[in-house]
Amino acid sequence: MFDQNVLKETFSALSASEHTLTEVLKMTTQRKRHGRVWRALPVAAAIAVLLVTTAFAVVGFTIYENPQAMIRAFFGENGAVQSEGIVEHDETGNLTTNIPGWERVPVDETLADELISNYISAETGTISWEGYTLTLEANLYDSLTGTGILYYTLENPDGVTGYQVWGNGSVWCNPQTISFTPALSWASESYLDEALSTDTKVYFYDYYIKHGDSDLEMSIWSYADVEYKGTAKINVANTSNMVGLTCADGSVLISPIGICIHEEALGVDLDRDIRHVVLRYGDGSEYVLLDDAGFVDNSMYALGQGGDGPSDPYRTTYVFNRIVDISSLVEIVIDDVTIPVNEDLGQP
Amino acid sequence: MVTDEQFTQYAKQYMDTVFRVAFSYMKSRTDADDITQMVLIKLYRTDKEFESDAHRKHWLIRVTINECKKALLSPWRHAESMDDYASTLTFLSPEHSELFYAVMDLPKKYRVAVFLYYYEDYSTDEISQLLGIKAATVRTHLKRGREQLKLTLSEGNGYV
Repeated sequence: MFDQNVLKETFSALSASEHTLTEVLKMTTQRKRHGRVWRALPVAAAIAVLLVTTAFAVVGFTIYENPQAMIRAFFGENGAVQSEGIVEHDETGNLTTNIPGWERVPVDETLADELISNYISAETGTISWEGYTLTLEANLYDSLTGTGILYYTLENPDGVTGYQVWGNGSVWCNPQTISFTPALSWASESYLDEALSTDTKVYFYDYYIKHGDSDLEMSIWSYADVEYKGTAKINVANTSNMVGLTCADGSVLISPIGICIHEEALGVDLDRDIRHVVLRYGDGSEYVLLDDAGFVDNSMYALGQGGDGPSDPYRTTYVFNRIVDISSLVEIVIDDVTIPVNEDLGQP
Repeated sequence: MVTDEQFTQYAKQYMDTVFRVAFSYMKSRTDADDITQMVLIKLYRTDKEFESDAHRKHWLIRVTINECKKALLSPWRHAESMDDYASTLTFLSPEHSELFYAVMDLPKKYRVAVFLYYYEDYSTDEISQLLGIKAATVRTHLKRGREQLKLTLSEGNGYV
């Protein structure tokens, strides 16, 4: 047996960067964000069969008109269509970018009309700051999996500059080149809609996953002032339910836009991340969502969260990069677990 | 909600703890620093009432582990050589240095369990809660981690 005191002395040599405390205190010296409304977690209904509800039945929900271009950005071939992955190193040889390969496919317009269009809500919030105007355009939210996509624009008559676009279309507002960043209150990743953007008006869309108890809000976060400069709410409570499936006794929830996997309930090894997720259709085709061994990741965003006891089980949620026709699925494969779906369709 | 003065005290008190947990998980100084900042900001913003320092530390480690899990899902994480960071550390003896490399060479699930058990003095039940896995699994990880450490160190100079 090794000497425990030696281990303690060894790891006591490790300490946070000297800049850590300075950076954190800089971020907290300004007043705290306030006015956030906290509320209980909505309970996702456990369903054993397909849910089909109408968007029009929900009070306060306004359908976004003509969403076809937007849907092509969300789920289609806009931007980088296909890549075997992006691996980059800096001048010293350290790995700086490690994006697995992906494949975007054309939008099936019929499927989009059937499964998506009626569930995109028109949004009206705006935030103005230092010559910029952020305008919410539309939101697509699935309450079953807690996944969604928010579409918005950023305008400035003098030009919108300073943001950086990675090879897969995702956007980063680098504090060294732009003084602020749009910031969603839920976990998210931003992408650029190049097809519609101009020098003075840029279209962004954020894939997000419900995280915590807060409301969904878009804000502008000032890097310089270390505080929010305005907030616009997105009322997902008014969003109507799109179709969804609950599988494997509730351990897998899936909708046309995302999947939520409760790993412990499913029997997946909690000690390592999920490495392989494939959705198989009745016609024999398949959607490889994630294949660690093949360096493929066809999700637009993924988040692991929870683990604070039975009421908050650990779960991993993915937002798809294409529309999934869940009524045509026959199997979901997650690592070594195969889950039959829509068994009346037969096996592939 | 803590005052700024209280938060500064807590940040100083716990930032190295958070960093060590994050480093033992991520094996990257840059990632561990980023996660340390995020976790401390979460401490600043939380409305949670802590019953004791131990409760606060437990919460911080729990949040740190969750942030590490999230970071591992991100394609943007840093993948830097641990040797670069290790070369900046001052160990008391070659024995300490060898033990550091041996622990960090363990698979993540063994490494984190060993760190929490032997460095942070958490029980297997407490580690079970922190990692969200069964206590029996923690014990297995500790056993296998010890076995691997014994093997690695005995191949070196017999510190076990």
